[in-house]
Amino acid sequence: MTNATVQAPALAGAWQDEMTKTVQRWNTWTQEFLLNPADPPMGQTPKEVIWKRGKICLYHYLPQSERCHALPYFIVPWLGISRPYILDMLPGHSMIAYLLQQGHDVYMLDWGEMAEEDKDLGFDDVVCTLLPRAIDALLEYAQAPALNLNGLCLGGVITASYLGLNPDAPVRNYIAIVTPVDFAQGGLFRTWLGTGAFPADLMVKRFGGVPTSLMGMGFKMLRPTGDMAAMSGLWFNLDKDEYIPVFKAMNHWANDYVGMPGRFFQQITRELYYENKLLRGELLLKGRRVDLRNIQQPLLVAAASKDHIVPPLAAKGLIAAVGSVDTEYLELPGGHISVFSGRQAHKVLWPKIDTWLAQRAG
Amino acid sequence: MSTSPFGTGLFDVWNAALQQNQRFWTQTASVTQAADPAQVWRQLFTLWTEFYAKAATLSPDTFQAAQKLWMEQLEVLSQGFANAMGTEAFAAMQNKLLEQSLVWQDKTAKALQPQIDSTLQAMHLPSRGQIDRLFERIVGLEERLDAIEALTRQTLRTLRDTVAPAIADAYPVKS
Repeated sequence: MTNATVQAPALAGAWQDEMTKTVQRWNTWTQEFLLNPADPPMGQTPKEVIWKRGKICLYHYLPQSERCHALPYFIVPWLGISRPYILDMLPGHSMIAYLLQQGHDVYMLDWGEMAEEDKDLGFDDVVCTLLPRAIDALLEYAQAPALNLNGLCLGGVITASYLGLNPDAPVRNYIAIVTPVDFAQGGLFRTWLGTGAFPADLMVKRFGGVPTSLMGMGFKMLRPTGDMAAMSGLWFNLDKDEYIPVFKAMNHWANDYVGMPGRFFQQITRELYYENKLLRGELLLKGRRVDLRNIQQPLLVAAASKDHIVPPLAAKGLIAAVGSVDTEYLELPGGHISVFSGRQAHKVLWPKIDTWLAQRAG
Repeated sequence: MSTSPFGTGLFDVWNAALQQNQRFWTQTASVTQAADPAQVWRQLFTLWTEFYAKAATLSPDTFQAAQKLWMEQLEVLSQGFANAMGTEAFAAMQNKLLEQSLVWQDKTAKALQPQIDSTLQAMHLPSRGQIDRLFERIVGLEERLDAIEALTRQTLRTLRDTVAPAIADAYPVKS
């Protein structure tokens, strides 16, 4: 028998399987994207607003199990760019719900939708005024002497700067996830924004900040094949029921951009991406120098090996810059978002945070 | 090209199929009128059947392998883009384009603004600038309120920590 004769039944079987799957995919696509295109509700974990300043809200998530950790767990996400509901995406895919189930008392700051009227809000206002007030309100509400602080992405830069300014800050443990600190290692954004030729001032003059359209374009340009890869992934997985709601939620979030206040953007671009002042200890906020050596708390830094927004080396820089004796660096497989919100996050990063805090009586 | 977990065999087949495909479309595009329109689709079908037949001899699960290969190709493409866009020349070009676009938009907006403003005024509608200024004032008021609230909180705390114990010391509760 020839090779072709031997392979023919196998090929016919594979072909038949693929055709069956293709029909199923078209059926699912019609049902889920044409007839019922609504996205699943996100950010559904019950919460209450305990402090509000304009668009900025401080949420307290209602407990879901017996409290096992003495100190409140405070999440400070990025300002602008996108929305923080990715941290509470869907049941089973929510970092916040996971922490609640492990007995943490969880709080999160939501910076809200920044627009042209917020153009004068600067990085210094956020670090020196807004974050300390939010922490003050949280501690008063929780009746706690201190908290565990978790900065994410730019939220990590904000929290690291806050701790660098305040050696006596009421923070017991500090967790920085995908936080850029060494901006010289900042990947494509460093090349684009860190040359001094980026027309940040002109953009702020024209729009009062970074409008959502340009924000989206900038992030899409970082990974031009991202949408195609996402759509291909969808097609290949359309025959799996559990894939669809997660895809819809992720896809909705990934295209839901938020603008950035003008002054904040100018400071980030000039002082961090261009001059790398935070790591060099030259960043001045309201006349005070940010010294990362003031960070004495136990520190956990998590980075993603395939992060194209904050490359691992940009995040790792924090470890060497702080004054903490107890530090741990964790480089996990995955991208910028998947490391704390993807399918692997609940198996790797979330349990790691829980055990790391438990070992430090947090 | 990144190392494929399937070896180079499947990639070669894929590559050959792509080249055949390209030749097919070039030929199709160059023919002004096909004698038999169905022939085009028959050729295409044959092309892909051949590809799958060849690929099936290389991997036990052809379609899975092809999917992985496709995702790998995208990753390679993405890396290629990143390399090209990670150069200073690209950044300079991009910055220049953005700058020109912003200057042009600014000029256009300035030229059109008086007419837009007068039209909106005639319709008794506020302009974007007026709404922005109103919101800026609200934001400013909220900032001042927040500062007062923070100060009040701090004063109350100071009173609680210093004055209250002093009063308690001065007037001890008699049992």
